[in-house]
Amino acid sequence: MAHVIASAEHLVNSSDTRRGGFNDWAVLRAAHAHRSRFARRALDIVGNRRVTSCLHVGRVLAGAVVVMSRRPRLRGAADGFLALASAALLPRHALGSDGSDHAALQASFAAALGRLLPAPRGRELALEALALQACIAYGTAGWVKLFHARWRDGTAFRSVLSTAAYGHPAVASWAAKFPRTAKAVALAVLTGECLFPLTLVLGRTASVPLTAGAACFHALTAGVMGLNRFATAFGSFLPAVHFAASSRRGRDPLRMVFLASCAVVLSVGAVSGAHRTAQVRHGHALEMGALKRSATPELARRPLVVLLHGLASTPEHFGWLMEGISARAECWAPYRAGYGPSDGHSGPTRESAAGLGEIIDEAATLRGPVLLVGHSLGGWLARLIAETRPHAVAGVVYLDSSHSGQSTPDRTASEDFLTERLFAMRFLTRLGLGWLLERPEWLEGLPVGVQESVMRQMRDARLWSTAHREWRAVRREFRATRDAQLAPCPVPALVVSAESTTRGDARQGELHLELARAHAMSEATMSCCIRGATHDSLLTDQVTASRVSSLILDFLRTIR
Amino acid sequence: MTRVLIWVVRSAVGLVLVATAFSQNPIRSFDRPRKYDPLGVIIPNWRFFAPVPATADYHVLHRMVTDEGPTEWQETFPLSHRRARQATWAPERRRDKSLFDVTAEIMSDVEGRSDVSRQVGYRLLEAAVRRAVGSRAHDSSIQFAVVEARGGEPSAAPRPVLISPVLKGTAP
Repeated sequence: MAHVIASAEHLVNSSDTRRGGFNDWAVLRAAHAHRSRFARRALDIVGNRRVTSCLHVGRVLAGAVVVMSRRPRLRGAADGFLALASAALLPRHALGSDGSDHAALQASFAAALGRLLPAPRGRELALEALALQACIAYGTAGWVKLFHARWRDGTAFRSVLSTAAYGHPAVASWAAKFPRTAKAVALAVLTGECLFPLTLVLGRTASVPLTAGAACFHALTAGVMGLNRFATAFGSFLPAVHFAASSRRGRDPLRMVFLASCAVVLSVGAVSGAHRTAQVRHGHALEMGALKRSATPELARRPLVVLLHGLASTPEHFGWLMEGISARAECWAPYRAGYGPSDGHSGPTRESAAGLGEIIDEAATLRGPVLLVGHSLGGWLARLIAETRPHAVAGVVYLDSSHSGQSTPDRTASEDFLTERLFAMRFLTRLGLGWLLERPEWLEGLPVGVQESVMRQMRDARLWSTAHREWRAVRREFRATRDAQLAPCPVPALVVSAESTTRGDARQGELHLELARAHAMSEATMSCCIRGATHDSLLTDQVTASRVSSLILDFLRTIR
Repeated sequence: MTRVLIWVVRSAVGLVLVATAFSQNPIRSFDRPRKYDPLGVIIPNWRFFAPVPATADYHVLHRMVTDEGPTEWQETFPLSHRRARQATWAPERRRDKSLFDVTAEIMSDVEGRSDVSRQVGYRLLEAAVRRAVGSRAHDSSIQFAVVEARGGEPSAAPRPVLISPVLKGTAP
């Protein structure tokens, strides 16, 4: 039924696939440019409006056959067609599709297996597969929500109900009137979703209440949230769950294969995670020893530039900058405490700055006052070092720097988001799932020689544990001091802002100007905004980084 | 033969289920197994409304820009009103969902990227706005905006999150 309703809705909305529609294939196909040539050609065929319509008409007819026919083979063939046609149409209608379309596809695929494979094993395999898929679906919907505070405290439920897209005015006003009851309902749904996989462990004892609860839940969401197809699509999962829970508890071969494979994957992930940590810990650490050894009279004449990386970042992020600067100056990018092979724990910025300051003092003794370059949080640390050790610092370059005044009440939501994200990254990498992390697009922008090292650190729990701890300390500190005036700093500064940062939040631009004003007693202080740059592309984009390198070298010439 | 066939199918289904289980993490960048899903349909996504819930509506507004100045902003795609029959039959909800998806896609890039105009979602939205207002404006230019509204927080005023440049001509 879910297929019939879905295709009928698409046929009614056929103008959506024309030019100017949200599913105009001429534009939408660009979203699949990363797929293989074969996949793109296949999608282009389905993207043809006539083919799309034919597939929808076919789905309506096949759905009717499944409902009305009594011949298992014919119904199996119709199920197979429904699964294939749905798989072809999902990317075609990428915008506007939802979980019910995926659920209907899974149900039809399992039904085709059950009806076309030899009985009774084929039927058992199909029902078990569908039951496992249902447990993954409900379990995921539950446990992933636990990572968001608003789901845990029940307020997300009320907020969703108050939207026009998924809410209902009457139910939203009820939830606002009885917040405790609404919270209890939200937590009951969350608990039911998290506990759903227990149906396959505890058998009928758990499957009867949980499947009945799920059926009621889908009926309610159809009426309240307008998720009409969810009731039929996920409703088709529930008999399979009840069957799998009732028969041969825990001894089904597919269940065994699934659980054993999951255990193997987790074990391999944990071993490779430990190996990765060992590699990161024993990587090439930039120490004072290296600087001392290179302190020849010739090198000692060259200015020393110390680059401080930001939160959840690495010294390798400065790859392009170091390449640009190293022709005229010696660069040194240490791993901050807790990052890479560096020992210690990062915490409040004043403590981190004090630790770094001692090293800067030592470096200044060897080479004379150094130029500090800090990106993001590294910029704020550079300021604190310059404030307390002006004798050791020749100048400060702020690259889209953090500022204690940025932690305003209107940024609470985005700060909460970052806290939760860092926690989730730490949780997943600690679980040994770092290998699941995809290579981010920006990584390809860095010099080839450092990409693997950065990726290794990004997949290591150490980076995220440090970043999570550091961020919580920094957030507390920034909140406590957000209204404090910046103390004047006697060393010259270059303040570089990324256009997207100042355009996205005008306050951030003002804070950068305030940083420059704190260095106003030095005539060499200047500030600039790099057009077209983002917070990260200042370092990761070769062209932008080369512009930043030129600015730093000009600044270096001015202050020397 | 039948046993072999069943085991082959069982192994394949088991592999898909394991890939599915390991592709449902709270952070989408941990979805590496999905890279091996040729059409993006074998491994379903079961993270409904999670971890970040949909707590805001995004409205698309447009205005005409003529020699006499811009007109008032008006809603381009009003969301459908909830009706009882939508519990079983709701074709208009597909369009609402498309609008939600396209604005969510644009929003995901608006803060991190300096130029969203090349993004697929933005291009689709621009073409949709052009088509929607095409018959109402012949020679004037148009401008559209995406506004975020939080119904559950009466104190929160609607916030424009994207304002397009003035678009010449309105032919779709």
